[in-house]
Amino acid sequence: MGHDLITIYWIKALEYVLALSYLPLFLLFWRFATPKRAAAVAVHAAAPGWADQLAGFFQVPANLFFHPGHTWVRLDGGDTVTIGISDFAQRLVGSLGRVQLPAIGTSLAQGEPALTLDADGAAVPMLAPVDGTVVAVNTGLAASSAVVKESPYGDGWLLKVKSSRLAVDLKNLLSGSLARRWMDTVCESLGAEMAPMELGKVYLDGGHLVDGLARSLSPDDWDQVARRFFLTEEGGRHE
Amino acid sequence: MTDTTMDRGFDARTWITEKIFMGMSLGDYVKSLLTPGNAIFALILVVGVPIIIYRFVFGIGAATHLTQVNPWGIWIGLDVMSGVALAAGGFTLATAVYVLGLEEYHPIVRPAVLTGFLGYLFVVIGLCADLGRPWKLPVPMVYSFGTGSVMFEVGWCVCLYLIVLALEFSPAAFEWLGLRKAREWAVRMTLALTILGLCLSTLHQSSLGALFLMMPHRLHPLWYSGYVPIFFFVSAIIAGMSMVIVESGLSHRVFKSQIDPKDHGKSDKLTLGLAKGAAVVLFAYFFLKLQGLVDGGRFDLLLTPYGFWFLFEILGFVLAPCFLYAMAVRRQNAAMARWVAGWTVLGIVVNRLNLSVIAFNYNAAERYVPGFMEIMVSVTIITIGIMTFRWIVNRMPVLREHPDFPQAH
Repeated sequence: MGHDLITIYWIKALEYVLALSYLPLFLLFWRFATPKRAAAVAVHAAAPGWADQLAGFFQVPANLFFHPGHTWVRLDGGDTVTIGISDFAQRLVGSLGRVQLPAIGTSLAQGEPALTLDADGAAVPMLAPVDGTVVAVNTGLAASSAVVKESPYGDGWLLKVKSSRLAVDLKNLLSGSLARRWMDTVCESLGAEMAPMELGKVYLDGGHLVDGLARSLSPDDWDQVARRFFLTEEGGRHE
Repeated sequence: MTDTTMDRGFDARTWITEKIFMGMSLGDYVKSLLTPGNAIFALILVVGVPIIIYRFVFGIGAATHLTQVNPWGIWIGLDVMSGVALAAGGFTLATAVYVLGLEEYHPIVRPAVLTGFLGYLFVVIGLCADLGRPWKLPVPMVYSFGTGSVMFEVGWCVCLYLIVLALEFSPAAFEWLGLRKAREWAVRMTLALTILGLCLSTLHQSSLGALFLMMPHRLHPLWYSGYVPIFFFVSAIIAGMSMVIVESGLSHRVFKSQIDPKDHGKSDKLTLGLAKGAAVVLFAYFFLKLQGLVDGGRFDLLLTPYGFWFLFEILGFVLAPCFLYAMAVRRQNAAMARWVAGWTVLGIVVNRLNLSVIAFNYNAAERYVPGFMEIMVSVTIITIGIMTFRWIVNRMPVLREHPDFPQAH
């Protein structure tokens, strides 16, 4: 059979299909064979970096909205929300004595002190994440505040608030990837405080995070350290 | 620093103790050989060496199932064809490092070159076992110039490439012997030797495939193709890279104490780099095989027993390792890459055996089945090759730097 460019017979057609399909299929194969970016990022992150090392210790659930002062909001449907303190906050403070909660019917303003954590004779205020009126408090905390440490995002909730400006307030809060990035930044700050000056940055090689980080950093002024992170330092708040 | 053998009176006893017995006394050295692994090696040699002698004394007919109809058996299929393919790691790695500048693979060049050198050396030994008259080896190269013969070209290429590999490995030997000047000369030749080795390998790897071009009536149509020389060359690259992965994985286990501590951590990274390269070449090879299949046009044979075996070879030993390598690289799983490399090496052996034994003379009335003696000879040759590799690695700076020649590795 003659090789005529115009006469296409099926074997030649198959050969052309093979030749033409090779490059696009190879490109797909190359993408498959190349390690995922996440792995490359993980390798990069494995280098000494406090944020990456510490962030893994603190839970930041994706379905919650976080105030930079380390209180969180969970939408309960309608304009009622549940409020609590973050995992970072309870780890920072350590063993809690009492949690002072506002009474039912109290009006809260976003960014204003709303509750107080008592521990070791010191009181550390925390900011309200939303505007609204307190409609319920977690009465279980009166007996023991241990549940706040055990389940800060579950049974350790603090208040239920009916908010009149929820949509607006939520715009000032952080959630999802933004919240995780915020936590990374918080951990950077914590790491900077934890690393001794003479050593500079050091690499973690496992272990458990100490409870009561603020006390580890500053046994005498731990409450000031906590206020700094909770944005309730006397003399003004920082964003 | 001067050549260490010249700067003091040569003491043979001390030299043998240091270099051969690795600093141990004769008694201690012999005791160190008493291991279960060596017992297995010894058993193989005790059975295999007399069979080799028997073959040379009583002839090929007495020791094999080869006949005039089936002149090629596992000595050609396994020792020669597969051996040459699996020894291709030498030229592949040397090209990658010295020509393409991929310096990160430098730590594994020497083991790859040694594997290649010993691979080719024992290919020639296996060929001698098949030929029966080793003194006739130079005949097709020198006395009976058959320039139209592929065998003439294969003979010259393998001979020259063996010399090239010996010279490429010689720096390690000179370091071991303390011959600094000789080592410097040998190192200067590295780039030229690498380029020469690449050219020679391209020639003879493809020529071994070209041998089958003149046998369309003997080789099964599914395996016969005008592209066979290209298949052989491309699959040799795959075989070389996979063999280097297997060899480095085994060396890191067996010769753990030898490996430079700073190279231990690099091993996984290098393995995954080679795995990615092998995956890419396997992908291209798969398409080449498809092209050969389409060009042959014998799709009707795919539904026969030979067809199923052909499909198993293509899908199981080409496409599957291609994707498994890619998956190992994607997951950064070096252990998985090593297992896939072992499977790929097996696949290359299967391919070469298919061409030279299984699908060869597929329509002959009498088929070839290897006998016990043939299998023992092949096993013995391979065992001696492994023992030689171990002997050299234990003494010479192959997996580690020589303290007098830092950064040479």
